[in-house]
Amino acid sequence: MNVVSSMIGSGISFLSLEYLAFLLAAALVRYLCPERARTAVLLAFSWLFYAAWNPVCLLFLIFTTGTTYFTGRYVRRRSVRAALFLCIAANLGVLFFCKYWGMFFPGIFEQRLLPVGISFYTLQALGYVVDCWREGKAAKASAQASSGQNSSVQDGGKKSGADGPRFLTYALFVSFFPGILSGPIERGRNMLPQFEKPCNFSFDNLRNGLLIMTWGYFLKMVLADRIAIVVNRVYANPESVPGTLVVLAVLLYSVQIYCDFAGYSAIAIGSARVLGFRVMQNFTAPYLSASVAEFWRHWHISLSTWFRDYLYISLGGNRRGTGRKYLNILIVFAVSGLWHGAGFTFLFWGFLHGIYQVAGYLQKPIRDALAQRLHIDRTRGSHRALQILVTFLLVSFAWIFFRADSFSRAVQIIRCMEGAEIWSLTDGSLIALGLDTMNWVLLAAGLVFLFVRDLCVRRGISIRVQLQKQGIWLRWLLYIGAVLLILVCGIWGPGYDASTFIYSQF
Amino acid sequence: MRIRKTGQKIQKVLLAVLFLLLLAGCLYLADRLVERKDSREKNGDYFAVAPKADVLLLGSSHMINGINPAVLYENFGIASYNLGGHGNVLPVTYWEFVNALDYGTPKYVVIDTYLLEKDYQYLDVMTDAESDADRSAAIDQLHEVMDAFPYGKNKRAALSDLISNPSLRREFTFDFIRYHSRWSSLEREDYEGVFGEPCGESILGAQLRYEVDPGVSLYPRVDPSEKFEEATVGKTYLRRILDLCREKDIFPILVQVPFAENEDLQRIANSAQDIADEYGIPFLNMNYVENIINPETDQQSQTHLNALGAAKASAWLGAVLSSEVGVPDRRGEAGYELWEAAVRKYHQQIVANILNPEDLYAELMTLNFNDVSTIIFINNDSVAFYDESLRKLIKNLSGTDGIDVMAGTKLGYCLIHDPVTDTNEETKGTVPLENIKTSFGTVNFTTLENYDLLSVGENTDENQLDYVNNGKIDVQILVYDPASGEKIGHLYFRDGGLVRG
Repeated sequence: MNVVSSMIGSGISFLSLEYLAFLLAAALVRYLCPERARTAVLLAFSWLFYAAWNPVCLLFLIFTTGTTYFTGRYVRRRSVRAALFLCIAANLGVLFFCKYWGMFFPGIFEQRLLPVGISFYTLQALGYVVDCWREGKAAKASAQASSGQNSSVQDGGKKSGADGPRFLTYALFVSFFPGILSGPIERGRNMLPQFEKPCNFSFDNLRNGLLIMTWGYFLKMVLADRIAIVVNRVYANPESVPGTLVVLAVLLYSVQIYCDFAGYSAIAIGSARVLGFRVMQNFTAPYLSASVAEFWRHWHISLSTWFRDYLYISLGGNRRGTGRKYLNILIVFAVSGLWHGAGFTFLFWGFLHGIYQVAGYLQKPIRDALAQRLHIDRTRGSHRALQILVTFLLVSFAWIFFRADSFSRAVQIIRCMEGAEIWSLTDGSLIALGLDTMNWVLLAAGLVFLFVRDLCVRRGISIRVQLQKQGIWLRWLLYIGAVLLILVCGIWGPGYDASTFIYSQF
Repeated sequence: MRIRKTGQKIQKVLLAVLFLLLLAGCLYLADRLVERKDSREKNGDYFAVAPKADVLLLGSSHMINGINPAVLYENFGIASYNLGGHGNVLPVTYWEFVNALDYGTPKYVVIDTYLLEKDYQYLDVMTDAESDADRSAAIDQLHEVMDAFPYGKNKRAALSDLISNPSLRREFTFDFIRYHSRWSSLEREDYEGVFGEPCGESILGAQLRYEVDPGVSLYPRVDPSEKFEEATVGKTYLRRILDLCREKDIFPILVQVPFAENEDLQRIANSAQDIADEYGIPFLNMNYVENIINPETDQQSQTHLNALGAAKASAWLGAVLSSEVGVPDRRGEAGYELWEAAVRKYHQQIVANILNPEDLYAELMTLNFNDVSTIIFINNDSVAFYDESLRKLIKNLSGTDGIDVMAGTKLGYCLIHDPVTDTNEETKGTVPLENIKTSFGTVNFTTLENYDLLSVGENTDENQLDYVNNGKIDVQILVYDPASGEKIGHLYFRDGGLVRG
């Protein structure tokens, strides 16, 4: 009872023993209870999980669930655009009020309540409503085509409109606890059928889920939080650090945010797998991308595909001419930036990514011509490696604005990057950044492993699958070694704030 | 088919259980590896000796550094254990006592009254006067006290009473939470401590300091009637300790371990007398007893005794416990082997520190234990002659003011100190030391025109002083094993003794 009461208000962090116990309890109850009660049980667990962060915020979640569910039912049957817009406006209004009020109307009214995960579940729920509307619209069109001039539009809509999921199932889709805090932002067509017919217990799901979670914990606790020590120190006082180390911190931040968010996503995906559900991938080796456009196809996939499916395409995508396409890209990325945080640095970060992509399209003919003239074989690995490096540097530069508290701090960081004092890498200055030699060695080894793993991902090789083909003793040795590595070498314990996933603030 | 499937399921469950057991075993070993060993090293022996210990020594670092159970046993046969803890305020001492009683009930408890004025209970809260660093240090010190005690009802009660933050308490329940980050600084002792008990410097809980603070400030004594009158949490918990003693039929003795205390600390210490009177028990304020220690040579810092000071304070306390309180002499009785081993360890530690001292002050301090025979030589132009603290330490050894006389002569100085033959010979001007009989041979010392000649044994031409490699060294000390007479060390000091040669 004390444990439960201590969680209320402080939430259940993915990085706590409480979370593992909670997940285990949810899995046990979910598999042991009768099939027809499983959805309700998981929903109860999910709402409990959410209420643990702030019970009041559960009302916001229920509001979004209710409005989008019933609007979805309605627009699927009747395909009324006004109802769709009303629902979108209401939910974006709540999001705006909770998250952006202070940014646009500072000093007018101090709004302090920010429900955790609101940016994520709002997009997920709105995606569902738009899908319903599109289904309704498609059904209406199809009904019109098939029934000819005699059939009324309204009747056609009614016929096509299947009722969709049950409310409990839909509520679970919006509230499913592994993804409620920071995604992945799922699609109804992937999750709802799984919730409707949940599978039975399987050892494979349990093992695979735990392995995916282990990978997530490794990324977060061994790599991301270790890098954070260095990055935080440099960003707090960049002028006291040699320029080379500021550059190093900027590059390391790129890795930190990747490991942090990919780690979170892996824990969420693994948790869902333990419960018997398959959630979409969120990262597929993004830093091995050869262009910024490719980067966004591999980074935070659930968000970038959401923006593609529900904003970029709605704006006309690339069907309305080149100029409009570039404008749409800029709009989508600016909105994406704003979605990440209520600050102009985030807006600029998103806009910068839009500019990168537009510039990439504009330069393409020049690059093609140059490559042809200089006889550059663009299929070679070395050329791709160079592209990957340039992309990584561009993305890393943009992250400066994402990470810095303000524009002036971002500019300060850029200024402090001047001066290539390469010796600062070997004269002991590195140690002054908060990691001793052994920790730097561990970090370097971890980054090499991450690089190799990402190469495997891009080549379609799953280390997890390969591992499962090995003999039991080797597998167990590696499993136990991984757990020990995370627990012993992970950054946690006194002075560590377990609730601070970078993306949890969005 | 169904039977086969069921068999496969059972096999998977068994494998999962086996895997979890293996994982748990590995986690246990990892926990043992990364844990800080000092609590087990300091208090680990207590669990073995608790039923035999007649006296428990409780209190702060003053107790740990100041009262040596090996001296109490060697000289008086007192079987004691030092459960003092660094920074222990009286609430911590109380709870350590409560936990200790789970393993044995001593007949006597000696309680150090230092930190009586502290007026807080929660170590993670303290008062506005303390800094975050103080709070952090207090938690760290509590780990040293508590880690060795297995988790149980009393430990849980102690943590609830001493720490307000529940998440902070958790790291005492599972100290792996705190210590896992030690992985990058593990030492040999950490690996050795996985399967066995860690072997450290503690002697039945006491931790001796082999340094000398030559800059200790001295203060006038205030009248014992001048007291710190305010009620504090410290005083409340001292009473709780005394109540517990009464309940368990344990005879308590309050002490103030001697050191050069300022006037405020003296007044605070004096206030313990009121509590002693309240309970009708003795309060031994050693600061009011003349000549127990010499603060100029017997302190490691302004407030802590060094090993020599501890030996003196322990000898005085042992005499009182033995003759006035009536603590039994256990020497020669069966079952006290651990105390005998502690005495051996103590003397080995002294010799080890003689052969590897922090500086010349520490060397001269440890030579006072008479565990070795020695020849001390100071070069004629050494700055050591002008260091009053060094001269005092040498006078402790020689028993004369000879070094003061030699300081103005610009001549080399030699002291032959052999406890076996009770020899203490030193140079007086240019008069040579001739045919001095010692346990390690006949010693001759002569001041010649450009150098000094020190010979030991038959060959009087062989100079024991190293002028070839260490001609510019200020001080040379030759160390001899009193049992075999063999030379076991030759130490060199530069810059008046502050730097090892």
